[in-house]
Amino acid sequence: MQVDMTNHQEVDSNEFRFNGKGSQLLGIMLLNTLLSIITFGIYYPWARVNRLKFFWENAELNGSPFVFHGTGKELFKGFIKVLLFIGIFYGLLLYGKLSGNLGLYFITLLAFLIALIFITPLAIHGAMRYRLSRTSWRGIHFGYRGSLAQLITDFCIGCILTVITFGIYNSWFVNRLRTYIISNIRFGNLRFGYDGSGTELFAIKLKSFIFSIFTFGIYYFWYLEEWTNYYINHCYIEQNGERYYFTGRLKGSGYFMLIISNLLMSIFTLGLATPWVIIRTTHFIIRNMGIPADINFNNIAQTEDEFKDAAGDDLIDFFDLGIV
Amino acid sequence: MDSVYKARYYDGHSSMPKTVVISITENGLHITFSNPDGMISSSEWKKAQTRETEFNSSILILQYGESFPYEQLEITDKEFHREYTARRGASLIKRLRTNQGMMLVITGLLTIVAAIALIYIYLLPWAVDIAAKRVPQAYEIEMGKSLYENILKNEKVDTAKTIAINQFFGQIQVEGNYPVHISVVKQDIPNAFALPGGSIVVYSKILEDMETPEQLAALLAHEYSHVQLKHSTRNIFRSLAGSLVISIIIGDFSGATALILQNAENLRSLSYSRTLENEADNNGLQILKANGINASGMKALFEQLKKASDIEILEIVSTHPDLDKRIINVETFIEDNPYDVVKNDSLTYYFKTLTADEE
Repeated sequence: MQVDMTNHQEVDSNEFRFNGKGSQLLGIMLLNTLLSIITFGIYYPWARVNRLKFFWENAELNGSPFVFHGTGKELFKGFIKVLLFIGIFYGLLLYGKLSGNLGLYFITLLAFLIALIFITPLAIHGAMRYRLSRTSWRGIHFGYRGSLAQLITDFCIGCILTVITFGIYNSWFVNRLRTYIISNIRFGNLRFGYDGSGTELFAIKLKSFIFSIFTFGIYYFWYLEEWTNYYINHCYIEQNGERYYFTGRLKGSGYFMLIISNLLMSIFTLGLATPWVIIRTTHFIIRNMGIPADINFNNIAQTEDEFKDAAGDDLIDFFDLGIV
Repeated sequence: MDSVYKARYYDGHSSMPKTVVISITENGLHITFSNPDGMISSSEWKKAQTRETEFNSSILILQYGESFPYEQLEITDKEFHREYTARRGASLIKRLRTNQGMMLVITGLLTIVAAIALIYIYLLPWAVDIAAKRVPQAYEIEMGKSLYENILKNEKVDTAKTIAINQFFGQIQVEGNYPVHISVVKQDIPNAFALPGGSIVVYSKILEDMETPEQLAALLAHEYSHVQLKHSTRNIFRSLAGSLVISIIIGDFSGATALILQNAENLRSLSYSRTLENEADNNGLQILKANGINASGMKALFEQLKKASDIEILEIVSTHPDLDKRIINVETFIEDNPYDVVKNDSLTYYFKTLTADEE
């Protein structure tokens, strides 16, 4: 048998596609439901992995699917840890309350509130590390190099400043978090980055606030268009010192149509169309996010040293709260 | 001779694709590389260390290696997918995602739904009945009291008639030691119902329509039988258990609590099953017999109710569905149980005070 053995060298026109079908997703959802019921819910982490794998494996960049390497066992451990984390602080609070000692109650309440504030950065950090380290494309792994301490510090300072400025600082806060999180994403030797500015984000929000008043809120969809496209347009991938930007193509009208049609589909099928709604939303997202055309995805090098141990034993590494 | 297939190969160090030729062997995969210098080389992937993806139906990915980074193959050839599955066997997930597997999954889900329905319809009432029969009397009385207070909150009690009806019932000897308390409520509906633990509520309308003390004796004997046989308790348990299970299934726990609190209002419209009504009728007839009261009073009572339900559609229609059958039941009882009727002047006296005001 004669087979052509020349090596592939296609470089241009990067194409990102999603090939999953609603019927396949429905099958997975039914399967997950059945196995979750007969195991009294213990199957849930495995069910989640099935779903993630379905989405990863059906997303194809230049004809190669992504692969999710996470396992149900890892997620299961993560859930146990989350439960313990919540249980400990809740237990402390309960102890403080039942002790009848007002001072002790105040201290445990404070600890509980602090834990509550920490949960968001913990979850973001954990989910980024876990999901990215377990995602690969053509054998090259993604990774997240952010530091948890840094994220918590940024997050707390941002929260305080936002409160002090009556929410005005929020635009700069969001921008700062994005910059930090995205610039710490790696894909082999490719580095992700974000260079938006808080001032510009604030201007977009201020404009939309004024316009919304005059359009009775209908402007919201166009605000989302501007806001999302701003976000996407300032995301880039750095290869050999060169920045390649993503392109945001979202249209307010398109988003409006998507929401309305999804709603109608769900209502008239009594929710049975849910898998198809999820699939077309996925298509919508991918269609409106242009991958940098000039980047060469054919010569990414594995930088495994950094990501090999992403499993770590960090309490939060297994947090998978679906934030990414 | 093994079939050969084209595949894309990645070495785990770079995303650069290489086209290779692979074939499935007894122990794993055989991979043939053609290197840029024109040389041909090959490698073997052992079965045990090869992992496969499961969710993309057009591209199969195989990964190989014990330690990071892993080598990877991408195969689009459907022929290869078939041969690989045939020789290696498919994972459980893959097997369940085929058409036959999906039928199995759907059958399983439908079976679970059916099982839950069966449990709800048959097993639950059975378990609840057992529980209700074992409930201590003190608890029944306690529960009945709070339900009674809740129900009569917005009702007008006729105090004079309430005293008279209790004196009337005092003349009838019954078994069991429930503290019976009967209340007459001003209501234009011919109805009466029993609560757990001995509280009985009688609407004034049903009294107005009565002609003989035997009818009233039959009514009270019937309602008391619901108490004595714990029917009311069983009914409340059943209605609560049902709502509780439904709330728990849909995960609405706060709703479950609210349901219990709301339930008091709904209890007055609770209907008994035909079996329980028959049980109460028969027990009531025994009470009449033991007291020497004419059992035809019960027949007259049912005829009275029948007449009332002919005039308008009333709650009583759903509560006492088969009045004709119940009348036949009373007639059979009278034929089978001849006994001397004892004249009781006290009953007549209290009955008169109960109906006197109405004129």
